[in-house]
Amino acid sequence: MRSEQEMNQVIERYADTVRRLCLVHLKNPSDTEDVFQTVFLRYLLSSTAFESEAHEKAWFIRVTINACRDWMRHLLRSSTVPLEELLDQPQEISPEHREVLEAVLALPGKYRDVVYLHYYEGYSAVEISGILGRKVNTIYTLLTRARKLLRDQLGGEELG
Amino acid sequence: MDKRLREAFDEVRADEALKERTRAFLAGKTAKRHPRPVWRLAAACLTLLALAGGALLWTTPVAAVSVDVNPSLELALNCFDRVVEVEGRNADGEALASALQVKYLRYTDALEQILTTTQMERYLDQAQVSITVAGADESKSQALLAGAQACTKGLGNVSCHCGSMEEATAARKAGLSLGKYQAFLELQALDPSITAQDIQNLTMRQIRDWINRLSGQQAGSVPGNTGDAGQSAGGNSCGSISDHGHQHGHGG
Repeated sequence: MRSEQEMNQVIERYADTVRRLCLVHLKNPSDTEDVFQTVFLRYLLSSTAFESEAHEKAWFIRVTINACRDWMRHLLRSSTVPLEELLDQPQEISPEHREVLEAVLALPGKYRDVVYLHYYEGYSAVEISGILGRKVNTIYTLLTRARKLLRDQLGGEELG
Repeated sequence: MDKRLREAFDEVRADEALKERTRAFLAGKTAKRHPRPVWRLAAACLTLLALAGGALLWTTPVAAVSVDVNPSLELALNCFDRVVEVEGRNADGEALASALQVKYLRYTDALEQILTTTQMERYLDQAQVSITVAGADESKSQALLAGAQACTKGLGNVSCHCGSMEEATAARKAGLSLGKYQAFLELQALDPSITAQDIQNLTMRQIRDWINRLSGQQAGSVPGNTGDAGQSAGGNSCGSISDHGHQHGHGG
């Protein structure tokens, strides 16, 4: 079991990443809190030795995505709510950014992870394939289609 | 657009309240899974140690009692004077050992049981029964000897002797019981050509007769003769290995 000091360090280091992934997947704030705590509990109980911070971050991303998926398998919890409710900090999101987030959340689930991991976390398709356990070509395809959907939704700017 | 995406996600953060609730949640889990307090662990370890130590004390032989007629038996005793092992030192002894139920009895109770078995009763009237005790030190040997004498009081032809654990170890190596080994040392002092094998299957009476004959005392028989003559007499003090100075006396 990890020490309290280790837990405080990883909460500071990965809380935002876990929170964003929860936003991408989950439908309400209470689900977010449950999954958020589940992820850190898994870390607390995990005996995995990480080779580097990048390895540790990839672990958190993978565990969070899996925890979100597990959570969403419970159909009763899948009722959707507006972004204002989903974000328990609506006043801090500017209207422009809310539009972008809403566009991402409106994407089919299979695109959301790759969009977040590529455009926000900066992972390459190869790295995303390692994290999500999917083929590199599939990641490329998902990124291309997500890019098109977002362009259609948000306007003509080309995504990098 | 990618810049817009980054900026949009950048605004999503885990607020301090969520982090704090998570820390409290994890602290609760840690407390539930917290190892038992150190004192409880220490108590458990001490109990285990005490049990292991007790088991070791209970099963470790620290003293020996040999009973020799023709059947030669050796009882190994723990520090509580309980029998932890019964071994026959010859064929008759092995047969007797397998018929006895004396394990974990006090050695005095075990001796009483041994001396009242059918196999032994027939010797008590006509043969010499030798009981030899050996403790870790002189005082222990004396205490064991006193116990043996008390429980054989009134029984004819029973003599109790005292030896040492070193003698008991040497006897085991020679394939003899402690009583026979002591008699063997006496014999060998009189005739160095005598070997342990020579006396292994003799009765104590035969060995004693042989000793008497060699030492020039009146002897009623030679080896192989189960005649009734010649018992040496003496006190009951414990002897040492070097001078084979054990002495023996009749239990009754």
